[in-house]
Amino acid sequence: MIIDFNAYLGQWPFRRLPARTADEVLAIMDRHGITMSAVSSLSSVLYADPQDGNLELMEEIEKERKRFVPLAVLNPKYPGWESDLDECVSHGFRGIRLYPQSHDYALTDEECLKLVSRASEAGLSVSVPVRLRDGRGRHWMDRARDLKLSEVEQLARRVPGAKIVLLESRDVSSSPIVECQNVYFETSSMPSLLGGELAKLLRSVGASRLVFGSGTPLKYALPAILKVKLLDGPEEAKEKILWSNASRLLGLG
Amino acid sequence: MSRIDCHSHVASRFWDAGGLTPESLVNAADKLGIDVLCCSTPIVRGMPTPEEFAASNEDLLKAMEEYPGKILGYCFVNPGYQTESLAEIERRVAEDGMVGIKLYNQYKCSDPVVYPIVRKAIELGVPILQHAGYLTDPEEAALQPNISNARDIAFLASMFPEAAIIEAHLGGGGDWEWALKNLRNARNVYMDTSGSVVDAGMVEKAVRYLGAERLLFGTDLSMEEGVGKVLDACISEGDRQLIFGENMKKILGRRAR
Ligand SMILES: [Zn+2]
Repeated sequence: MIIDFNAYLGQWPFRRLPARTADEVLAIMDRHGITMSAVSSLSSVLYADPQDGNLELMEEIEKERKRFVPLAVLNPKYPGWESDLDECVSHGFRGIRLYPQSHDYALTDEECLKLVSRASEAGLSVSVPVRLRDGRGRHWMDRARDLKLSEVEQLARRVPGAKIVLLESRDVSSSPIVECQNVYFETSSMPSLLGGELAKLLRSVGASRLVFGSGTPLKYALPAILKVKLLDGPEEAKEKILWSNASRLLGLG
Repeated sequence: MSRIDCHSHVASRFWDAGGLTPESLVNAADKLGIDVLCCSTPIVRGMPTPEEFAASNEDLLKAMEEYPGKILGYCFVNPGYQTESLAEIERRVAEDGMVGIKLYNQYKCSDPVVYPIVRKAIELGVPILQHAGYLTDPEEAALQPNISNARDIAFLASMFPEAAIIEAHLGGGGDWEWALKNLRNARNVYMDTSGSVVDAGMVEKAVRYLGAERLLFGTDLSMEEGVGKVLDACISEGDRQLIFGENMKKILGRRAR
């Protein structure tokens, strides 16, 4: 069983993605044996009102609720996030995703701390990507910078009850962020061969805070799968990484 | 069917590659079914002297001797030192069995200083692996003011139609779509698929623009990414075999012996 904690549906304005709809992403999941994917709306990254993307996502996955677990994109700097959060919870969303670089705020801003606290009280995990694409070739209209680990670390310390999943984790093993027990690391950008980051993290933080993700449909899924499969570690560790940690974070039982 | 990594590296006295050893590299390659690793030891910053690039190539030669037939080598030179570069290439290819030339970012490849190197490559029948990128982020671009981009490479290729030029890393040179559009009609330019970037659809689009005959599998030490993106691409099995090894095998077969 595999649960993908880092997947998307919707429009990405900077490049044509080979898969955009629920059916197309399902085909990728089937090809790779991915049982379930935690998805959020890519459109919400650039919509002024991210709630519209959340509602589009709902419609898109309506017939496939056993395969897709919806996560809500919210912007604490835009009015109405409180009621948007409530609405998403009532629709069965199982977590939130934040895009401080694209939505132009800091994770430690007062409003963001409020949102994270409230989501955490509702039992929702909070995922934040370090980035959505490699910065070296970014589109001229794409101004988002890579997220600073220190910002995530501060958020984790200010809201100790929050479960924070750092998507597209990279170069974290030598950062103090590994000390924050409430921060989880998504695996797709961390190699395991050649003494890569994933191998280092497994040794230093253990398997309980590592969560498989692929970046579908922005990225190919197979490299991420190979990283976990080729990881030098016991099978139980891989099971935790591939699905059981995610299952707990998503409240799937 | 064989997998030839056309873009890999071993450590040298100038770069320890995070503790990489020939043995750890070969072990990782074995796990991914990579049969042959074409490596180089470029000095990536500054203006290396002839003594320095010769020493760097010497370190590569040691790795080649440790794994004959498994680790192959590209001779790295700084074209600014013309006489010494040509002598170094002559010696490494003819005497030490290196299979290509690696050029980095010391000069743009469209600079006339590079032309004698290309003539030498044609004479010896070996490819040039050209470090390249179109870095749209100004901070990234500022770090490598003389990096060659696809337009520079297409220009060089048009000057020397008999040369085989490989543009490095589809997945490590910034805007890869910009690169593909520039290389479409540059028939003697190949592109390697290496680098950490695994944007979905990139291999398919590269096949559409260049044809599978002009794409070469590579990792640039991003091992799982390198193999994963080629395996995951929705392309024909025939095209996948061309990319994984057949094209490179053909290129390696042209070397004058
Ligand atoms: Zn390289």
